[in-house]
Amino acid sequence: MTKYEWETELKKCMVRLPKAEQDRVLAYYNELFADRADDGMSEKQIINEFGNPVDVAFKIMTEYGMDERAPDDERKIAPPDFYSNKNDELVSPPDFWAGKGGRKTVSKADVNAEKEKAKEEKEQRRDIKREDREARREERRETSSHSGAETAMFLIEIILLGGLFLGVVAVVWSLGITVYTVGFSFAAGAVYSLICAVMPGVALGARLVEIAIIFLTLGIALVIIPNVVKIGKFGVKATAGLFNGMFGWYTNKNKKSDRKAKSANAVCEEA
Amino acid sequence: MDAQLKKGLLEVCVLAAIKSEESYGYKIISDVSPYIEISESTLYPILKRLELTGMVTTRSKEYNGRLRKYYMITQKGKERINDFVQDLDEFERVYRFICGRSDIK
Repeated sequence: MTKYEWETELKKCMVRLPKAEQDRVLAYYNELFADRADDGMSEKQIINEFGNPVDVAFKIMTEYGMDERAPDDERKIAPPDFYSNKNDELVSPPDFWAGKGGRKTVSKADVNAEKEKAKEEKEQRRDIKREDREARREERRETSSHSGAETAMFLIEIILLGGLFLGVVAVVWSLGITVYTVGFSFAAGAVYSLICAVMPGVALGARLVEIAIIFLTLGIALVIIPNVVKIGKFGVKATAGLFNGMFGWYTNKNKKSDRKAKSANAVCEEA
Repeated sequence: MDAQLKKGLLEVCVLAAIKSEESYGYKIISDVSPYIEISESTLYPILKRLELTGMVTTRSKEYNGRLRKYYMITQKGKERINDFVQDLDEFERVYRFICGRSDIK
């Protein structure tokens, strides 16, 4: 125990003393503490010498004529509701019990009637509670199960989302196929034009223009064709990503609704 | 020792401790404790009682950067010691009587 703890305990025990007196006591012990410390004693030794703060407070309180250790509130004993007197009548506690007024006599019949009344009230309260609990459980059950409207909404949701998903996949693949087609068309066109250009019977100027166009289309085709694999991979990845995203979103949504339903059921069970 | 008897004795002992010069709590305990058992919690009510009955007066004096309360005996306190000393004759007589009666027994 430290000095602070000792003093705090002492203060607690002297709470019924006037504040000025408490301060005097603390000043007295502070002075003694300092004198002993000057004398070379340690805090622990001094506290041991002083003794239990409860006993110290008790001695001081005794001087004040307050010789009970416990505060007033702690000493009070709860008074009995009724007790039998010499005539076997149930009477209220006498005046000296705290919180009681005058003495009054009550017949046993009155007491029994009071008890019956209290019992009935208790049963009524219990019934009300049970009904309330049942109603809440029923409500939870209704909210946790799917109604027809909810099922319809679910189907519409799924159809719309599925349609949207398929639309996005179709667009991705259409773009990919378009790029494929353009690339191969350019390549085929270039080959065809080359065959035409080298054939006899065409003017030299026209042949040169044709050859230039052939190189242009070949160039475009050579840019597209090597990336065909990449475009294909991108298409597959985009589809997979879309599918995963949608699957994950839908699964989480279902999990959340499951959890809600479970917690609602748990509340019902507890109730 | 009987509590009431000890209480009276302690009061006189405390007065005797400050008879020749003013003193403070710790010194009073140190001076008195070789002769009669006394603790801090016992001394406080005694000093308070002596002060209230006008047998001691107090003053605070600075010591080592703190205030220390000094107790001084008053004339009334000195008279109390004298009364006690005079009472001792009576005590002695009673003592002899008690011991004499005990011897007889």
